[in-house]
Amino acid sequence: MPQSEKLIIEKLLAGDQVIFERIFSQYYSLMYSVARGIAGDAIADEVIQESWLSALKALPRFEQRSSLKSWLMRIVANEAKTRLRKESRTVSLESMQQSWATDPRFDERSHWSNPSSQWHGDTPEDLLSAEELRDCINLNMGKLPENQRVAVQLRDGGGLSMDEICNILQVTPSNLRVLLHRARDKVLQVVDHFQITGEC
Amino acid sequence: MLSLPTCKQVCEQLSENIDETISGPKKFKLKLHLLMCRLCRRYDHQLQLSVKTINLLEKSYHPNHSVKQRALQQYQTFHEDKHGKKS
Repeated sequence: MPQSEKLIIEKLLAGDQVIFERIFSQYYSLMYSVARGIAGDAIADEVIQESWLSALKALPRFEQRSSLKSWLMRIVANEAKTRLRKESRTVSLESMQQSWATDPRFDERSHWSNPSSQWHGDTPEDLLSAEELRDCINLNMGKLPENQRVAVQLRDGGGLSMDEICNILQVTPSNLRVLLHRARDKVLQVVDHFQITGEC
Repeated sequence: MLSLPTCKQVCEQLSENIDETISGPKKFKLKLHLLMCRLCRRYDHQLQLSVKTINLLEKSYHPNHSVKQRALQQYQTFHEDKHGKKS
């Protein structure tokens, strides 16, 4: 563990509010993504609050075998799943969409028959400058199966390692690769559709 | 005969390559396919752009004032309780 992270943990344990505020803000977007991905928008902030309480209680026993970030994300994922169970909603981390097998973009030999179009805009900022597209990606990411959504949020949103995500989601590396590909491919298709039609 | 991956397989491998660099014969075949297939090169570029877009989108969540205040309050109370129990 980096020395700076050790110092952060010591300060958190000592009750340093400035450090807490900094770490809370630094990890908020990722924690929010994970909580929202599993438990939904409505209770994401409650899940984060409960997660921090659990984390603070467990921090003296934190063995530092993983990074603080990945340890926190595991706590958020567990809290979110617990909340779902309490509310009798289904945790469907194993669901997989099968549409990839019969993807109409490919012909019978699995080569392109209906490829993506040329896009206008070469940077994420260009793409997201269209408010409608931003909303559309959010909307469609919300419709992804939970395991795909959380996987892509943790990996592409939060930069967690493949091992860390496998640990959090309890999936094998090969399953994770499939989840990531399907989620990314869906976002690509959403952008492509918007580029062609100007609609979500 | 050298059998190259299909476009559909290339799409999957391009995503895989973002997370764990593909090596050996698989990499060679992937590169060769990309060299010959402009549509897969386009997909590669768009996939990378999609990943960056997801990253930017996911970083756009910030705690509002009341959420932050509640968290700080919770942190403070947690430490007061802890020290209260010790003393």
